[in-house]
Order: sequence, then C-alpha cells, then structure tokens
Amino acid sequence: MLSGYRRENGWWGVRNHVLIMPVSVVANAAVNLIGKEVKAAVTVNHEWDADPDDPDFERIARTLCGFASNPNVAFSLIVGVFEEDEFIAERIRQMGRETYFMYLGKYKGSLQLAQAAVPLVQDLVEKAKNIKREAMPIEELMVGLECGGSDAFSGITANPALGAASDKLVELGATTILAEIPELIGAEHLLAARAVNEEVAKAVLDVISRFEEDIRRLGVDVRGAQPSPGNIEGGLTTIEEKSLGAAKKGGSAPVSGVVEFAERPSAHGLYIMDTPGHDIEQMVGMVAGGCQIVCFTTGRGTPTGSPIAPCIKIATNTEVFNRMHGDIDLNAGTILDGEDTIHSVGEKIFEEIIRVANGKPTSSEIRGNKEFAISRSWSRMSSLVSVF
Amino acid sequence: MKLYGYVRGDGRVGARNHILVLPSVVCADLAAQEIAKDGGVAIIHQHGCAQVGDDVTNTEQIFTKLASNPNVGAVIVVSLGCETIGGKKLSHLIADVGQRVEFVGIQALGGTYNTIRYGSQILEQLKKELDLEQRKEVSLSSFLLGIDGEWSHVVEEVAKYAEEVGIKIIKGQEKVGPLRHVEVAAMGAQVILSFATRRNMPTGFAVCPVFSVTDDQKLYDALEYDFDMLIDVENIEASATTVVERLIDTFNGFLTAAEKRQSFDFALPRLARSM
Repeated sequence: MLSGYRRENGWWGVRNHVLIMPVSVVANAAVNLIGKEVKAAVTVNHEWDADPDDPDFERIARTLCGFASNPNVAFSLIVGVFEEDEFIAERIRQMGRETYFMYLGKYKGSLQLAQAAVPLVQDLVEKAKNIKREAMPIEELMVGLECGGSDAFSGITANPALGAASDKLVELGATTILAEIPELIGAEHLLAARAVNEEVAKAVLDVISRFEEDIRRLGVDVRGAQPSPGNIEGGLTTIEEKSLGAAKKGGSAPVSGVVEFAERPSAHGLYIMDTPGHDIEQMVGMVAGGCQIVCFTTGRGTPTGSPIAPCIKIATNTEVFNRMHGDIDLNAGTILDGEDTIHSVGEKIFEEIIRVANGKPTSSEIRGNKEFAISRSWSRMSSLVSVF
Repeated sequence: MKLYGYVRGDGRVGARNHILVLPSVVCADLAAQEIAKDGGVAIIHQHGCAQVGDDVTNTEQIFTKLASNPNVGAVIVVSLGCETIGGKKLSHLIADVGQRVEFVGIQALGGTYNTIRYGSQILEQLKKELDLEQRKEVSLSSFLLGIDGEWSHVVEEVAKYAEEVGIKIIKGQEKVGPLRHVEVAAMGAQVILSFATRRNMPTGFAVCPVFSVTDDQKLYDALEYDFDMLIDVENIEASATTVVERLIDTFNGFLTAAEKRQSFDFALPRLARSM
C-alpha cells in the first residue's frame, strides 16, 4: 500500500520537507545561515541573479516556483533581496501552496535575516511534523525517469527494466516523465509512433528536432558532451546509440503528451519533458514539474540526488554496483549475470518505488546529496570569450 | 601602510592561504563540500558536464586560472570520472601552471564515502604544511586589486589613490552577478573591490575577499550589514583614502562582511545551453 502527505491543493507528497530557497544568488548566504541553525530544513543555492532582462527569466522563475511547490515540500521559505522579490512566493501561493517570504532589505543583512528566520523555520518544521501520512492513491504518484553516466549496458539492463516499471506505473494510472531530449535524438520516430494522437506525435518530433536545431546552430561537435567521455569509455559510440538505450526508460506505454522544462503534466500517463541531458538540470526540471521520486540508472556510477525528491539509483552492471556501494540502491546487472530478467528487475524497481514513497531513505538521501542547477535555454555571445 | 602576504614560488603574493577544493563537475559538489569542511574552501557550482565547444575550454581555463590565483596555497580537484571537464586533465592543467594540486576521483575511488575520507586526509596534510607558512612584509606593488561593477567617478578616485600608493589595478568587464568576481579573480586579483547596484547587491567569492561598497545611501541602508563601507559622495577624496586603507587591511587578513557570512558564490560565463 502506498502512503503520502496530502497537500492543501490536493497534490500528494512522499516526503515532508521544509525548504529554504533564495530568489537570487545574493540571498544564498542567508539561506545557508538559516540551514546551519535548523538542520531539519533543506536548503538550495543557485547562481541566478534574477535580472529582469534575462531572456530566460520566465523559464528560471517557473523552475524555482515549481521546485518550491513540489508536494514533497510541506512548507517553504523564500528569501529575496528586496520586497519586490516576493513575486516567486506569490506564484507559489497561486499554485495553492503555503509559503513564506522574507527579504534582506527588511533586516539590513544576511546574518540579521537569518536570526529572524530561525524561529519561523523551527515552527514550520514542528508544524510539518503534525502532518501525518495517509493512504495515497497511486494515480497521484509522478516518477522521473533518468539516466546518467550511461554505459553500453544501460540500454540492455537498467533502462529497459526501468521501462517495465514505468509501464506498470502508467497502467495503474500514475505518471512518469521521460526527459533528456538530446538523448532521444535518433529515437524520435519510435516515440512519435507511440503518441496517443497526431498532435502529441508532432509535439514529440518537434521537441526533439528543436534541440537538434539548437546544436546545429551552435556549429559544434556534440561529442564530448553527448556522449560524454565516460559514456564513450563505457562502450557507447554515438548519440544515436545512447538514445536508443536511453529511450528504453520510457518502456512501451503510449506517450500522453510533451511538456516544457519544469512544466507540470496536466493529466496522467507517460510524458516527455524538454530538458537537457545534464543530470542535475534535468532532475531539477522533473522535480519542478511535480515528480515526487526520480529513478536514475547509471553505468559509470553517479552519486547525485535531489534536495527534496528521493532518487533511486539503479546500476546497469554488477561491477559498478559493488564498486560504488553506498551510492547505488539497486542492481540491474543481475540481468547480465543470468540471475534476473528485465521483467523481474522491473518488478524490483516498482516495489522499491513503493517502499521509498512510503519512507525508506535512498542512498543519496542518506548521504545528503542536494545538487541543484539553473537550466538555461539560450546561447549567449559574451565579451568574456576574449577576456579569459 | 604595510602589506603582509604569503609569498609564492613565482614571486606573487597571496592575501589568503586557501586550500581550494574544486569539483570538476556538479556531481562532485557534495564530496568537495565535505572535504573542504575542516579548513578548505570549495567552489560549489553546477557545471562541468554536458558542455560543448568553447564552453569546454573556457571552463577548463577559468578553473585553472582560479586555482592558480595567488590566494590559493594548494588545490584538491574532486572529479566524478565520466564528466565532460575531465578532472584528471584539469589537475594536469593546474599542475602545469606551477600550482600544487592533488586529485581525487569518485568513480576511481569507489564512491562518495571513500572520496570524502581520502580527500579529507589530503586536506589535513596540506593544512599542516600551509599552517607553517607565515605572512611576510611585501611591497605594495605586490597588490593586484580587482575592481568590478560600474566605473564611476568614485571608482576613478579610489583607483587613482590606490595607484598613487603603488597598488596595481585590474578592472573587470562583467557587471552582473557572481561572474564579476570570478572574472577578476581569474586574472589574479588578491582582493576585489566591488561596487554594488540595485541588481548587483553584495556577494562574496571563495577565492578572494570581496570588499563591497556603494555611494548610494538607499542601497547601503537596505543591506547595511552585508556592505563593507558607504562612500561619502560629499567627500570623495577622504573616502578613497579610507577605502584603500581598508583594502590593505583586508589584504593583511581582516575579514570582509562577505567572508564573515560565508558568502561564496560562483557562476560561469556559459556560451551555450547544457546538452
């Protein structure tokens, strides 16, 4: 049975965090000072300067609002610089979530704001403790499907096994999100053929070709980034080969729709989100879009996690599972070893998702991984090229 | 006005004696932060993978230049192992410019736990060695002051007076966010003088002390305790003298407001989106 925390707007969380998040880079220090005093709260930092002329302003604002309104967050405290920075908190409230806002200008400094914020955050932590788990309908679960540090085994062990788990979730009425668009280049025809209607099929082809166009416009060789040096060392030769393996995480369910970066799917089923392959940017996008859990397959061994969403790591081979013990939760290498099948590992992943949703901590939660990144969509020409 | 600093092998002088723990990729942030906990400074960032073209060489160059800033006594590069900005290559680039550098790799060492344990041992050893180094009196011409932000009349006065006493000056072009500190720190500045605007309120940086000032009373009032000084526009000459004196104090070891609140923020000038 699945349990979770029912939020005031009807969304369901599987964790009950108090999140402290800065609006801009200037507020990072204050956020960290509060976090040091109230260890039970989670903090994130980022490098955005909240410049209103930033061409990515809307994308980044949507990311921050989506992240703080994720139902794994019981309450959030948003820290700004000036009073007008409350726009982020306002948007979170419009999404039906409870949030608090403080700004440095009112307290004349980071240390002073932190001092004032500590009792509030302590109260929020106590208040969160009073929210109890209830039986949660599985339809309310949203799971991100991610791979990072892939190798030649990813496409034949962990990814198809995760695909089997995704199929089961979708069949039960839940939602899964397949992302990392550059890692779908070469697999677009297979995904478009699974779209629920023509409109979605076109959206699938469009979102992938849009990214491909971006790369072409840059006039650069994408190798080195996609596939990465570690992917190549792990036996992957081209992005198309990597993609055919990466797409397997989406199983064989129909594709219900395509969403923008950090956009919440409007219905249930398998969705595709427009994110880069960058492991942290895409995880932030999926969590900002509402994922309560992320499943992350890895061949080379990647330790990262999300500040607010449990991340279940699945090894593609037994060697990396044993070597990186403590960083990885499940082993799909047993398929290669002949001990398991894609189907049986898929079942194990599904069961682990339920256990983790019910409260079992993952490796990255235990260690405290809380990587965060701002994801940009634009290409900038900078005077700095000549300076550095 | 006397200047005291850490004299490096190449004759440059550090205003701090940092052990810089530098993750080559965002995936190594946690390990780097943990390793730096007892006596190091870490640059926590979101880059190092899924980068293309000039972004790759720019990132390598900026990291190498920051690692060889004279404020850095030694570097520990923390790598994952499969990233675009290869940690091993980065540590070679840093060694090539004459900086002392150690390397730890998460995948090579078999996970985060081992990496933190091993990296912390390295840090402890480096710290023992660096703690033996003492500040020595050096000439004011060893001081390379980085100035960022808007170039106004006030800045000109400060720059003029600083140059009169023998301080060398470099000026950045970046106006926005943490980039402006990263730029002048990469050019070798030991201390940064930063002029705030409404969109550029005070932030600090791991490698260099950032001395934040403004001549705008309203801005100063808003974040008084995060600033180091308010410039008196009625009496610019006297203010310039005070700023330079306090910059020398900062060089000699006085902590800036940003250092006290541990504001160590970073950004990279990226040319293209992540792949």
